[in-house]
Amino acid sequence: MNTVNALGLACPTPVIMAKKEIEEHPGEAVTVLVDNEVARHNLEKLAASLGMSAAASGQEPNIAVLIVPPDSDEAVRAGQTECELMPASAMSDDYVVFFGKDIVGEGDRELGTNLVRMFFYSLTETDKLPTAIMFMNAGVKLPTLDDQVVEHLKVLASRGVRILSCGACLDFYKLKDQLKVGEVSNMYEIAQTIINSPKEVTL
Amino acid sequence: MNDKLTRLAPNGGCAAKIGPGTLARVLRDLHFTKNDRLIVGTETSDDAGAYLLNDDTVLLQTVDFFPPMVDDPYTFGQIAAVNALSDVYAMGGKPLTVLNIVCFPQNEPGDMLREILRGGASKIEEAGAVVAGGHSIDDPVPKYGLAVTGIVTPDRLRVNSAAKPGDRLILTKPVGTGILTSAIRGGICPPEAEQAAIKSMTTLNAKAAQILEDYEVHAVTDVTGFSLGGHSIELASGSGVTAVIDTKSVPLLPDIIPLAQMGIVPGGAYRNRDFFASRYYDDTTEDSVLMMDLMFDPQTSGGLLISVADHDADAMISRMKRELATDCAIVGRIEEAGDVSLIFI
Repeated sequence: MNTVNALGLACPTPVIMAKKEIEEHPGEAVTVLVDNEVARHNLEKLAASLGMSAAASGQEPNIAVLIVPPDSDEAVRAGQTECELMPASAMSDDYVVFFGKDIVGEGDRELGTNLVRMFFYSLTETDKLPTAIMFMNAGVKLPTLDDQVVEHLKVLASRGVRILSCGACLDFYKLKDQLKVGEVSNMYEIAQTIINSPKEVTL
Repeated sequence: MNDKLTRLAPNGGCAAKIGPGTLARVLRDLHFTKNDRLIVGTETSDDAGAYLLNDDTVLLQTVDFFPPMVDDPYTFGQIAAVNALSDVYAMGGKPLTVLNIVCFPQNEPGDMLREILRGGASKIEEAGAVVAGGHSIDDPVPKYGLAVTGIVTPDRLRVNSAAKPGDRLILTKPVGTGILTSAIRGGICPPEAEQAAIKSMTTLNAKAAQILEDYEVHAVTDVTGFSLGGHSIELASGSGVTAVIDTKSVPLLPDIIPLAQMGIVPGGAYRNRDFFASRYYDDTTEDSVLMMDLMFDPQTSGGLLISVADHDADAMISRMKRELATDCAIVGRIEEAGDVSLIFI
């Protein structure tokens, strides 16, 4: 696949580089690497204006935007929702991880806390990364308050895993200004992410 | 001389402004000494400071400078000067003296800087003001602008915080300079659109300010980096009212719709929209994303936004359409204060 490296470049250069690449290789998909959200939004607009689909993964300062022509195999997968998750690394065997609480399993709390930290550490050591990790209810305490988990999540985020925390839950626990990794999301996006993923893992 | 001026500057024009959110955070805990004679200070985010010298004279002071957004140094000088002088016009005043503010790399050819200053001087002269001095700094990213001193009589002082329900809103220049200067930097701006943007940015707001003297005008501001949306919100919230902007009636520079649709939207437009998100309501029915990109596009040397009494609005706009060189229109109205400061329809 064609890749355009627009890291470190300000508006409007990433859009112009992507447009040039698309025009030179009609009918082909292109991945554009950018380091800021403005460029991501602008590339999504570019794709829409050309009748193509865009799917972004990762977060500042490492964002990959996949732009695919209509009717291509990739488009079938990338074009289903407006903002689907599509890291360039893991095209098949996609899965997402859902956390509705801040420990693993039932039973002893201390053990559950240790298990959750070990789980995220293990994820950082595996090749088969999830496309997204989602936190709801007490789960949002992990990307905010647990420094060890935050460190592991940062490693995962830097490798293109989207970290989504439910905004209403952050509000409920008064943690919104303490989110240390990933982005604030909502029920619609989280539900779409689960529905569109072939496999969901809940712990 | 044919060197690209913008290659030295990562951000150009008012798009280089520090975002309103960042600025608000920095200024939040800073307290300036109060003085009864300072009749317009920092509180209302107005265009220039106003200090009552004596019963007949208000001193107006403002400063504006930025990195280049066009490649021709003479044109850049003109735009920067017009943009800086505009704040005095927005307060109803007349500019008297200016000081040049220059940042320029010493290792670049000096004739480029001379052209910038020559461009600025041409507009300072057109405004009837004089250069009283200046200051220059060796800096890798060129920047140019003016500190402007003007005067106005107290009864003619135009603040941004006295709009009244029932007023109509008039805008004296088209919007879209942020999108077009981005396109210019990217080398994809259609030449006619570039010319239209430059003509708009190099037109003084002097004539518009002179015309509005003949009508019942309640509030005036000039539209710059915080965009038509942002400056409308500041005008409305400072006045304790709600502004309604009819997006379809806002005059637009050429080609900005296809450029915005293909993603040539400056970062400042996103920052403006995010910062003002809780203070406006978008009631447009179609092309909402596109419309918000246009309404929050940061302007360089934009027009005056005038809140005029309803009974004078038609007369004033027809005179402006006859006498102004720029595209102007009635773009909205003022209503009693609602839940938000601005509604787009």
